[in-house]
Amino acid sequence: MQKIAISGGKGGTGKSTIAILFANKFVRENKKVILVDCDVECPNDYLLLGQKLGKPQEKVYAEFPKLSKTKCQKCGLCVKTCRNNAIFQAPAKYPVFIKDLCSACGACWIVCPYKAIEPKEEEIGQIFVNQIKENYWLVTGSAKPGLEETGPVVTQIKKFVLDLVKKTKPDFALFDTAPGTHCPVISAILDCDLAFCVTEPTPMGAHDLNLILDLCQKLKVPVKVILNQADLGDKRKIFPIVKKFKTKIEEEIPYSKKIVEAYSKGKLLHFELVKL
Amino acid sequence: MKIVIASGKGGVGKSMLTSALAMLFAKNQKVVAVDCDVDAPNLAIWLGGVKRWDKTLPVVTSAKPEIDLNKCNSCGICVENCKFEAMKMVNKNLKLNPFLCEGCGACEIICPVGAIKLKPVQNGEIKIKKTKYSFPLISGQLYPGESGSGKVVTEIKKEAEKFKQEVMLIDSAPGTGCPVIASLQGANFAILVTEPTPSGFTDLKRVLEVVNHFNISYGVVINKWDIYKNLSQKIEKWAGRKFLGKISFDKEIFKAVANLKPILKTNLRVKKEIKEIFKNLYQLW
Amino acid sequence: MKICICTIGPDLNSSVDQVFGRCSYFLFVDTETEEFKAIENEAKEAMGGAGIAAAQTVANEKAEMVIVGNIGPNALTTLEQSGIKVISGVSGTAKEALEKFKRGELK
Repeated sequence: MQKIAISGGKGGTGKSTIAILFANKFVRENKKVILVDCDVECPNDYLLLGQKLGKPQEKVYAEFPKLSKTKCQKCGLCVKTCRNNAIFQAPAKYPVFIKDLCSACGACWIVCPYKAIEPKEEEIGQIFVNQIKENYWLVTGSAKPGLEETGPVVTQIKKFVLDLVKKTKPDFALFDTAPGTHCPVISAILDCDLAFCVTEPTPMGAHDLNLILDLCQKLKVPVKVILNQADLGDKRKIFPIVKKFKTKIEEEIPYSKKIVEAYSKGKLLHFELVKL
Repeated sequence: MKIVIASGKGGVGKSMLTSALAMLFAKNQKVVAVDCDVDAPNLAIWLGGVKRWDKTLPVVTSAKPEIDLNKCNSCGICVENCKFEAMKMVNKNLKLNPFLCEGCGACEIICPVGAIKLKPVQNGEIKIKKTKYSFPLISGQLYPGESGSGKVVTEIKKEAEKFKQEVMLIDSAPGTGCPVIASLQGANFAILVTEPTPSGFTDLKRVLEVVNHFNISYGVVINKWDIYKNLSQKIEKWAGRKFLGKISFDKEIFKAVANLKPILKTNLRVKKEIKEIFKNLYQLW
Repeated sequence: MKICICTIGPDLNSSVDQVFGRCSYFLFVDTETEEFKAIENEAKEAMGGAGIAAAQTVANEKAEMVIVGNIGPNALTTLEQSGIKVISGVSGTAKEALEKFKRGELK
């Protein structure tokens, strides 16, 4: 089985569209495919495929600190330890945990000498599975809105997918990532065999392509570049970057009104890659 | 006055709108434009590109553990306790995966033999440029693979604050996670940009949950409204009095930006549409 | 009454800092005697949650009131919940702020 990430740095370059078009293509070639939506802050692949998210197949939890007032001696060690400054303590009062700042790292309950802080599981995300065709699955991850650290949600989804892989034995697992280069994107690309980096022929596309190729190089994941809406803007901006990272443009996909329409109406399932 | 331009979904036109609004505000007020999309900062390009920044400042808002292998006895307690799965034991040798590490320091605390020490690392930079449109642009960059994007955003805003301008326009990252939350903190108003696609609309609602969490008033802009008019109408209706305006899809925008021509320096329809949004913005707050 | 004025320098002639979490100094002032103690804000360089770390310093010094330009929502809630009042939107020097406060002109 091959694990392929679809990323690109810049938002709105067509990562999800390309991921789906690839999945469709593989399925049509009689391959078994699991498409995984790792854009957990804004998962959309299900919409583009005209699917509905039913009941979550699995929930993702993280452990947050909970104080036992009977055990707490108000020593303040947890306050000093928290690198996110998510714990506050007024003089001679019990410490309070500020949820918005907490990354659920667990340092506070490790350090507490009185075992007064207990880890308490809280839901941070959900995993959904849609079987689209006989050999075509969509796994969607969704993080709770307002959650700070979404990387761990992606890591959990990848674990879930590895279990599913054991059962279904697919030929391809495609991981559609969030835009950007921060934690959730890193978690999605890590350990993949290949990353397709989708970009557009604009200075912004070029700028952000440079960043994502740099990231993939650091993560030691081989890359291929896909130029979407290749006939708009100016392709020349992309060439030097592709060259710098010693890769090539694998596909050039022209702007297509039909694809844009299918995207808007959630009917991408009926389309395949259109070559120039 | 701090205005954040956010969207949930990426590539819906945040930076384009921010650049044009900054130039419009600059006509009558003191403005600072701030690019808080530290993963993929593009605002400078929409403002005609920056060849040389006036100032570049290092950002050190992350820390990573350093392992003293002479002291480490391979007990594996740190591996068990790392919530980010950044520690691994490979043939009795402790290995850190820096890309998963959040720098929380749990390993340092739990190590029974004192073999782990957290060291600060430079994870990004802040760049400052006085643009030719007479207002400063503050941009930032989180180095690819580094953690702490939210913290870099906070540093950028702090730097922008020093200019003491009347209006701060903040171009946020897509999504709803830490960099977006850091962008929204302390803002007075949020402009939420969307497009008439099911994903654009769904993501708009998701980012709105975060905006409401901070109790920030907001307005809605639909970009590329004409690619799916029915859904546009639906979003417009949904937004009600919060609706600020809409922008048409125009392939010429690609050409303008490829030539580093700011939207307000073109004669495209989008220029007129953004001016209309600018007017409505005043009425909404 | 002990109040805390967030400032950019270590004395009463310094301006009121426009930010709370990452202000340069805290001036803890006794409003009756006008005696003060300046403490450098260590949270200024904090990696995150500077507002909470700053609130911690203010609470440790047992100030009853904070005077500052702006303050974030997390720090504001935290201070208020521990009984410390906050006056924001203040500018000018710390001395001017102190006098205005004593005349009851700050709200």
